[in-house]
Amino acid sequence: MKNINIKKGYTQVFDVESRLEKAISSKEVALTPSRIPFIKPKLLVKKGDLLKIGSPVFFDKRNPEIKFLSPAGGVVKNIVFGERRVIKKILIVIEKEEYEQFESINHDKISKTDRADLVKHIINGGLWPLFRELPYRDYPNKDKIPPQIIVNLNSPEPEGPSPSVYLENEENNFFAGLEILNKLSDKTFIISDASDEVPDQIDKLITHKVAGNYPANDPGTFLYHIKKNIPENSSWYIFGQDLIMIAKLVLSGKYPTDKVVTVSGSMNKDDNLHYRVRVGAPLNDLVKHTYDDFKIIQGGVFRGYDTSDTPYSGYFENSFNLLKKEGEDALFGFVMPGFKKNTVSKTFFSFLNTGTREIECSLNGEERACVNCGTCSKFCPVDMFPNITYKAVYADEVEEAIFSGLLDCVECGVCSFVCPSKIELAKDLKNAKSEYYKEQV
Amino acid sequence: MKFMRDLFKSNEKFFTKGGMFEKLHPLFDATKTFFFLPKGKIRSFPFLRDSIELKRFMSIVILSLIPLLIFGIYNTGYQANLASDSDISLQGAFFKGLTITLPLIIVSYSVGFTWEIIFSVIRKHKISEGFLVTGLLYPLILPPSISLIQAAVGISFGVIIGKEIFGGTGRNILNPALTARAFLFFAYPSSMSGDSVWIFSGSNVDAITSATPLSIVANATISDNISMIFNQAGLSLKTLFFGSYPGCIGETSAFLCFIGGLILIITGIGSFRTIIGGIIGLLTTSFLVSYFFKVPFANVTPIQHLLIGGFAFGIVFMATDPVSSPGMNISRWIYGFLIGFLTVVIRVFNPAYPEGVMLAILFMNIFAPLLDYVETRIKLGKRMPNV
Repeated sequence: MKNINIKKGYTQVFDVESRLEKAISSKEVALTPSRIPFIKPKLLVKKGDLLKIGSPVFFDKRNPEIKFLSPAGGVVKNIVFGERRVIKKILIVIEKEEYEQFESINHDKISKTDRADLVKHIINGGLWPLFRELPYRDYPNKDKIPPQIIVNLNSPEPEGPSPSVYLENEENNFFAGLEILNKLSDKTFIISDASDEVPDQIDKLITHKVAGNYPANDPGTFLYHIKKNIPENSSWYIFGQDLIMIAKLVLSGKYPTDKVVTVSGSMNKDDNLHYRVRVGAPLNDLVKHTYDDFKIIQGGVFRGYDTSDTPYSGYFENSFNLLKKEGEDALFGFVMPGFKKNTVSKTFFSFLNTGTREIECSLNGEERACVNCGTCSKFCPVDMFPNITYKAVYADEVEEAIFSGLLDCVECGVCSFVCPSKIELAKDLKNAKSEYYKEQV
Repeated sequence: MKFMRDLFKSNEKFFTKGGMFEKLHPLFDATKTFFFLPKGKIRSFPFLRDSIELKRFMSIVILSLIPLLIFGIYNTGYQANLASDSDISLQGAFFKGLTITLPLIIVSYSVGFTWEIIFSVIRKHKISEGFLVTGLLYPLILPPSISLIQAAVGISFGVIIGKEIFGGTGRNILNPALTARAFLFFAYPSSMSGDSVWIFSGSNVDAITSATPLSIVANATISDNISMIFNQAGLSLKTLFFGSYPGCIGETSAFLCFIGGLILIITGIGSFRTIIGGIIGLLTTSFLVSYFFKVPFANVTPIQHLLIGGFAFGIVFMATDPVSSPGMNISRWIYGFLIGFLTVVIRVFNPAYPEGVMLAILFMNIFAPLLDYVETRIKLGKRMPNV
């Protein structure tokens, strides 16, 4: 086991207790295809259709083999479209819990199964997109053999589920998952945040412990710090909890429906806890209090989505953050001492305050031109100069942007967070990256 | 507070689209955001943003300039009253200083902001905060006897040519305040240099002459003992350090520049690399000059070099302007070092311009993008390609 220390980045915002609560059993679930990056969803169901657990609901037009399955048995109650006919949510009312039966493979037989069969099994089970391929973070081509697969026991969100919680009693599934990975690739890394406790059996298997600020445990950041040659750039990664889901699918032949998620945030009136819920369960099932005036962020406050209108646990998102909406404009805000401001700069006195800080979902200013202050470079976890890359993107200099490390960007959002000119660095870099990717395909 | 909020709310309709003063919306917006810092809505990830914004950024520079401003006001009045045998008490000097300095500050801000508003209205963008600093830096680097017309012409040149024609704050190549001063220096040499401009004498009286430390050295011969001449002229090291001698309004006190620099470094607004690099550059170059060359300036010790002229002020407040200085760390060291180096070179070898720091900083401003370019090429070239 190696230790990796990453100094840049930003500290975690909220602490989540490692206590697991069982959520109220859901009456309805929703699928939110618009939150799955890159796919072009096409519906396979219509209003009123009866679904089993594991029935296909929509597929990816780019690759019709890739289907997304229903996590619940019931009737499609409604399909809500957003702007430009984006499928915002597919609402399913739970009625009869019948399983769509897939083929199952015994734990001992996994190593003897053919790779292609195994892959086909996962694709049919609708869980293939849980594998992601760096640097673009789309799901990988099934025929490709990756240079390595990174299993991240943590979550991409800083407040995501802790491995100490979701790995409990799941050790066997996890081992089965690792055997599946061994079939897919020759090399597997298992990484975990150094501050997290992992059950002993699995702790022995961890290859790298990553210490440092968010996003130190992101697979992209990790890869940037360990990679030795260019092909490694297209490594795959998967998160620990997702690997367990795949293992459950393969072992039991049933589509796994449960997932551990967390609820946290400055406006959460309950404790910040872990919950075991059905995929697609609404936030109502988890928190008892109302949250209508809050911002609800899923997938981490730094890289997630504002899901205030559709707060359903997602395919990828494992955390809910309840944040305060932007408040009223402050009188002479720019000269106040600011003991509780959330900031990395030392221009506020809050750098002396180690206690609580005001956390608010607001821009705290207006967009201005870049003044070349260099704060973004100081915090970029992969040693990019985001301001320079941003200017190259802005000027449509694709070659220059790539030369300056655009594809290494881990889309963590820390540069946008620290920018005093409020420039949307992270968003623009992420968009430029996916534009480039779409041109290549 | 509620009253203010309502006032802005009720008048907003005149400045928005279709209103009477639609074109002046940038002015309304700037006034409103000056009083009420906008919170702003986040439209994309990340859903947390740092509390710092550009107004805060700039007001820290202003904060670190306040001690220099207050001392500058006092010192200007004190020197003027001392020369004309008037009241040299604290209040008397301060009041006199206010009558000299305040009009300059008002002219600087009002003329400069007028230009900013004109450009913002034409370009339909918001008024940037950069001028808050420029407008205060500029009067502090003027000699007290400058006329208000000249000051207005200077700041107009600085804002238009130094900044706005490049696209406004964030896109300028040169430091606007220094551009303005350099313009005055070449357009009105007799009002900007010589021995008679450093003490305010009013319009009716003959000019009062007083040699600055730099001109004393420039007029000295090789055999003179500079320290002795300084002492005779009342310019002991202590006086030079604390700054109570005639000179530009705000740049005489090296001590207060040091305090201001400390604030900038602690808050991270000014780069310590530039400041320390500049001091190292000045000290080493002046040491080498005094060792290898036989010129009057060779008798000036490195410490005296550090204290005389506008070097302390320039390296702390002018060279650290993030827009016109390099953004990369090593470049900042080189940039600072070369400013120190060039300051001494200009002082020592160019008797026509004894004040070297202004030109040194402007010269290095031009090279800042090149330094950045070279450093990013080298650093990015070491990255493992990702395609």
